[in-house]
Amino acid sequence: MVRAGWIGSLAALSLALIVTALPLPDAMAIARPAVVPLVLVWLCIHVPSRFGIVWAWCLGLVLDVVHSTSLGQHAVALTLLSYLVIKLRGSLHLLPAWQQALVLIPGWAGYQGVLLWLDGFVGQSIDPLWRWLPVISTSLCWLPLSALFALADRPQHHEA
Amino acid sequence: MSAYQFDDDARPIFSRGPLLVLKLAVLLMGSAALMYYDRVIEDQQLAPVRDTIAVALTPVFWISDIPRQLSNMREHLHSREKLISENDNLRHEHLRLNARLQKLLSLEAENHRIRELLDSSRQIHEAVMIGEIQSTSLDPYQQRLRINRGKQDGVTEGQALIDAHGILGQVIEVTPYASTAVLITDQSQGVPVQVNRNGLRTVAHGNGSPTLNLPFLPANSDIQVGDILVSSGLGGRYPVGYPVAIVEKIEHHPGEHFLEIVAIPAARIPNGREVLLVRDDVPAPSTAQLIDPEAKPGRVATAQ
Repeated sequence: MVRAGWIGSLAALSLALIVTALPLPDAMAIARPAVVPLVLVWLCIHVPSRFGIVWAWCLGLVLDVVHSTSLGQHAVALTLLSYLVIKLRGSLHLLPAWQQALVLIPGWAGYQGVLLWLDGFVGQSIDPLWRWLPVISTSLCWLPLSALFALADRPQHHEA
Repeated sequence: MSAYQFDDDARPIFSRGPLLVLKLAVLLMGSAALMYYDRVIEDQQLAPVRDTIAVALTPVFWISDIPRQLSNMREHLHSREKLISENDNLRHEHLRLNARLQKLLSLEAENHRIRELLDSSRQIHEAVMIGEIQSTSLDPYQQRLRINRGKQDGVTEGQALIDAHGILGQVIEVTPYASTAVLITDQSQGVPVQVNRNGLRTVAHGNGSPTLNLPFLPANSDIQVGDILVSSGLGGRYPVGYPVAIVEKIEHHPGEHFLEIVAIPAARIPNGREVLLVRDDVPAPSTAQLIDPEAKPGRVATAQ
């Protein structure tokens, strides 16, 4: 997407939103990976001049509308996550994808943790144990997603 | 990966530092203010922001609904015989219900006359609108539905949602073309109910599972397994007299003041695609209209 530019990046984000809004059976929905943060973190690592915390905040508001949570909840979590990623970008983007996947696990956990904490803060109480399932699924998704994006983003020799 | 290090896109690392922290602080304060306005003050001033985002997201919801639409379509194509038999059944059911409705209408007129005698000001009259469920509980911890009716169709916040069997929930958020409803089984919900058999009033609480709890009935209350709980209309959110739940289990632990009662919602929550949005602020027709047999067909159209 570094080469594909805005269109590729925005298409990836739109697809991520569609996956987020896709109706799934309950058993699958509790483990639905956080696709929008996944794509955004990838963009923050690889296209930092275009995607930063302002994008994260705006996407967070969009997620708040998709999930019908109070405006600002996902925005806080996503802004903090992207801030961390941008701070760590220097070392993150030198690592191979599988190491990135490991390093990012606390990031996803932090994202879910902030959401969980804010849920409690605004009066939604849920069984917190299940809430950590997306951390596992999101971590597992990092490798395939990076591979897919690297493939989509490979240099186009015939165009060069 | 290392190719990106020297990408033209990448800005120098050091110039970002202070600006980034400043941006972070501003955005976090912005979010905190939004959350405060949205949830704590429950101010309606944020509604246009939400509406704008929701309208912009309409294509996203539309596309994400395609797989379900396709599977529905396939089902319809493959089940002609099933449809024919279902049609037959429905025709019989329709006849049977029509017959019962005749009786109900006379009962309703009688009820109304008796209410008049009792000088009761309450008149049972609600308008309904059919909505279609677009998606159920995007977040599995919140029991919510998205319905394809919004502000443009006259949906308002707090409107009750029923299906053919009982009360489902209430509308909590309205955008121009869709709305979100919270189910009575959500943890945040409580429905004022009445035992149909003897009029005993209590509150049925959701607990996040497919059942309801009745936590405030003392050990000597007159309640039995199988009792039907209907909405009592107290609190003004839900219309009176719709089935809410059926008592499933009653336990009394010695030493406890209250009974532990579990009830199963009357509405078939996970099934079905259509729901009814009820509004009871429509001016009720005059007594003469209600009792006049000629006025019945019109009345059926709005009150069923």
